[in-house]
Amino acid sequence: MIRSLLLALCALIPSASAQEGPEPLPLSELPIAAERLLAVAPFTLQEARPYSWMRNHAPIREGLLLALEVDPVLARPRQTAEPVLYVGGVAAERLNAGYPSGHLLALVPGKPDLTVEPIFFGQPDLPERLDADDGQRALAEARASGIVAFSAAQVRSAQAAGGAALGLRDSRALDFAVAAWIEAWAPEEAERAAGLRAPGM
Amino acid sequence: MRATHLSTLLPLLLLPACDGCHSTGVVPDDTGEPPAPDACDDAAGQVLCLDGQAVTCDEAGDIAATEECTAGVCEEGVGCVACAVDLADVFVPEADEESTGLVLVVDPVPPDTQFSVRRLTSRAIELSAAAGGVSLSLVGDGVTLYDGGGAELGTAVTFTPAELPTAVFLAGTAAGREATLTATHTLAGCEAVTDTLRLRTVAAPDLAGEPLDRFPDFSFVNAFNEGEPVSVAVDPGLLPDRAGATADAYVVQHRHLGTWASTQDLVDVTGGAETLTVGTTSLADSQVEVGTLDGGDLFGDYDVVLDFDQDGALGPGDLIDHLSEGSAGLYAFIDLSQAGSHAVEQAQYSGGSWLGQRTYWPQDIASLGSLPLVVVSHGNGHDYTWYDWLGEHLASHGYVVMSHQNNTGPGIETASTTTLTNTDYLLGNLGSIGGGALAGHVDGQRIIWIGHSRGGEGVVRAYDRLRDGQYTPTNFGADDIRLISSIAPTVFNNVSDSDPHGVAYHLLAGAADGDVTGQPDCTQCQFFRIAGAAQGDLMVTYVQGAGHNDFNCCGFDDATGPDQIGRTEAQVVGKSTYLALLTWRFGELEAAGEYLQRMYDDLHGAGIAADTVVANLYRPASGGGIFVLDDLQSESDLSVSSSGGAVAYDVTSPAEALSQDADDRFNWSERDPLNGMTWVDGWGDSSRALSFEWAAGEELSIEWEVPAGEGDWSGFSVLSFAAAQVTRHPNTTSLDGPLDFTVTLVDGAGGESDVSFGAWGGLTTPYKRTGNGGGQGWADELNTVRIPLGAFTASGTALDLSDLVAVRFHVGGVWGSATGRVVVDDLEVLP
Repeated sequence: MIRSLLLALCALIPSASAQEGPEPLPLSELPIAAERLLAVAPFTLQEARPYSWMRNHAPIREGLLLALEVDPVLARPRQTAEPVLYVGGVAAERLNAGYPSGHLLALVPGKPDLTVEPIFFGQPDLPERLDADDGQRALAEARASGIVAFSAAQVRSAQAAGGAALGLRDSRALDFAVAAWIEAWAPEEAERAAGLRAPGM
Repeated sequence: MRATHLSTLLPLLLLPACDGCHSTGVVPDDTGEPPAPDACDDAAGQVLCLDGQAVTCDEAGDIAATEECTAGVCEEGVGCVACAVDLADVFVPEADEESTGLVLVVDPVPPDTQFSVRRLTSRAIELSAAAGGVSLSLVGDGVTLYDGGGAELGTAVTFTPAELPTAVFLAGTAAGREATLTATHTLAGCEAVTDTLRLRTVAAPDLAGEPLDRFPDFSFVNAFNEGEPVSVAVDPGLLPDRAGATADAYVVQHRHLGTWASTQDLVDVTGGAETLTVGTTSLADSQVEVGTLDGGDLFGDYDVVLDFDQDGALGPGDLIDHLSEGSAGLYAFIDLSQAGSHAVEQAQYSGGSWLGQRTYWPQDIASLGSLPLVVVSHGNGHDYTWYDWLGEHLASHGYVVMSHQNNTGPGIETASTTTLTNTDYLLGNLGSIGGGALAGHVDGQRIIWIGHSRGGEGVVRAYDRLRDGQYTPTNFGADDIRLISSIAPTVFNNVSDSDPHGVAYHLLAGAADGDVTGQPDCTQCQFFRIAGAAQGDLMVTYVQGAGHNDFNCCGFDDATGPDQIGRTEAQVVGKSTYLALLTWRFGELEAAGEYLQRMYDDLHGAGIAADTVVANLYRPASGGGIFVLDDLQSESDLSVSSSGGAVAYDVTSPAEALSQDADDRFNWSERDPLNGMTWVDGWGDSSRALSFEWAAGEELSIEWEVPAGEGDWSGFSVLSFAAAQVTRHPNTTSLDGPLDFTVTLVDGAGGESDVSFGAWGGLTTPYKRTGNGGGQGWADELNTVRIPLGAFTASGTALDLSDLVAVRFHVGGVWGSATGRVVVDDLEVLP
């Protein structure tokens, strides 16, 4: 029994082997849904802002700020194979690292109905290469795998947590709003928030 | 006639009786009849010449003495004078004058250099005569004769008795030439008497370097680490006239040409001159350690002087490394990972969305003129505030560094845009940043882009967009980007879109990278692909045990593999590498480039830990006087090189193919002869290389014919090729250590010279990381092997560099490592 206990403990303790690297991406399990919707707040912009997270996307004047709880392994920033975060069929703009906290902030254009549009990680790709058709295919794959949108109650709760709608002048103002959200939901990334708030010239 | 105390004087003596003098053809005028008794009646106190006899008259007008001038001629008023001419040199024995002769060094000074400088490394001849004059004849080229006032004397000059004694100087003005200097006695009747001295010119050799544990026994270099021993040597094979000679070896603070012209005294900086005795034949016994040197704020510059006349001053007959308009003889560098002498200021600000910047500059920038600009573009999920380690370091050494918000999330195109816009923004707002401190002090024509990860590909893409005309900045242009460095870049694009074109390109990557891993089953991870597309100067620094985020302050620990060196050490390597690279390319200090050109074992930053393993690759841009013997690229037939010569071999399992791990696994397979090579994996990748092996007990070779008409390598200085051990091959696993073999040059007369490059270091053992197949060993690590051509002729080795017919690699236990499988590429000779 003692031996079994020890073996079980060894399974829990990360190996001390220096060969091991970061946790591998569970590629075969994608798409994977975001676990929780922590907060959501709509915003508007007086000056349109480019949206480069989908190919040929028009500049945006409105959108949603989202705070999500996700598997940190999925959130961990990667240079090569990074799963694309979708809200429905639109690739969302990631705003922070979300690792190791698992609190990932994102921005999505427009006013998607979060009780209809699921939020999930799709296959790895460079978002700038994805067009609307690619987004729809990712959404179809997600739905086929059983991923569903958050419930109305979950969305309401997140809206309450997200506070009032943000009426912003421009991208720079949005940066400041994002900085505040980083400090609120991913305080370990405070330096990133400070970088967004760097003073103007 | 050989003096034991060396002097620069070459006395030309005409002696009544001259032991050892060179006499040819004495023509006495002798009738044998005694002079008439009244011969002196009208010549009291004079010396007369009568019938070949010298008649000395006393004051009374009587004959005091007579002498038959059998050994010469009779000179009125003087008496018997020998017909004898001697060009005696303190370095060259009489018997060797026409064979060994005199070797004149040619310093790298401009053609119009004044004599006041040239004389310092010339050879002085003092001319005198007891009677008669002397004519000098200079036949050949590469040598100029000057009088003591610095006027050129041409190729034929006669000195009358009234002009003697005088001093003339021989100076080498072009290397690799031959001439003869002939002295003729112009005294009537002695015109057939001559003496001839052979003259040869060589480029003034380096004198400083390091001992080697095998032939060629010494390596002449220009860069040293502060505090490491410096040695000095003279190759008696190159300067045979110095064989056996003794000199005081001084290391002095560097002086420019003009300063040497006015001040020749020698003040040693190592605590006192050492004595160097030049051996008779070998470099092995022609060297002395002279001490260690101080690196100052970044480097100390020094000259070496061998004072052969031991008079404590640089003068004719001495040797100096170097007398030149620009560079010093040698440089000692500080620990390049240490901060420089400038206190650093920084400012963090934003010009709007995606224009957040943190900029670092020397606090005393107002007194520093216009400084190069380094732009740092971070990777995905990274932050622009994560590069203090690099920004502060380079700013402390006199650079302006700006790290910016980089839009990497969407991809490479957006990342490249933010590199472009942020560079433009900084250059357009110098009057505002840091309160205007940067205004007038940023050189917008000397820009360096450093990108990490997706940013590493982004900076290359940005440059490609500039070159292809797809983006036009406001405040700079493509030509202003002088160097691009990618740290572990992704390769999402085809290399035709992430194309460095002809800009100088540097790659820094870690073999323990757990993100952009470099493994063959991930096309985007194979960062060497971008290096393979580079058409300009290429430098690669591949660091075993370094992870992806070791090159920023704060990314998660991704390092994968054994013997991880950690962030601190990786940044020591990074700081050392970047400071050497920038000092070379922007400080215009060639010696600093040695940190990226020489084998890592031979020279690396002093602050780097002894057990950190790095593979250095350096491939200069094609052209520029380089002769490529075989690029292993454009000719796929194994039996023919790209230069058209035949290739003959008995090495085992040779293959010339794309530099690609064909089965996407690091484990060895005979179907994958270039296993472990990760330079090709996508559309547009085209790098090719050669691979072959040998087993324990085998002595094998591969030989490249030097095509007819291409065999004169006397104008080149270095033989270079890239090579790597093939990962996870049984021979590599069996060897389990650095690998070397021998390079042989063959000349047209059958002369051969062998040099084992292991004298400088071996090909690194592939990093013992597991994964991506069975066994251990990560990607193949190309190292540049550079062998000075002078090594092949060291110590008088008989090899004619002007008539080479073959280059041969000898492998096997007699020649180097007992077993191995290697990849070889880019076999070439450089000026």
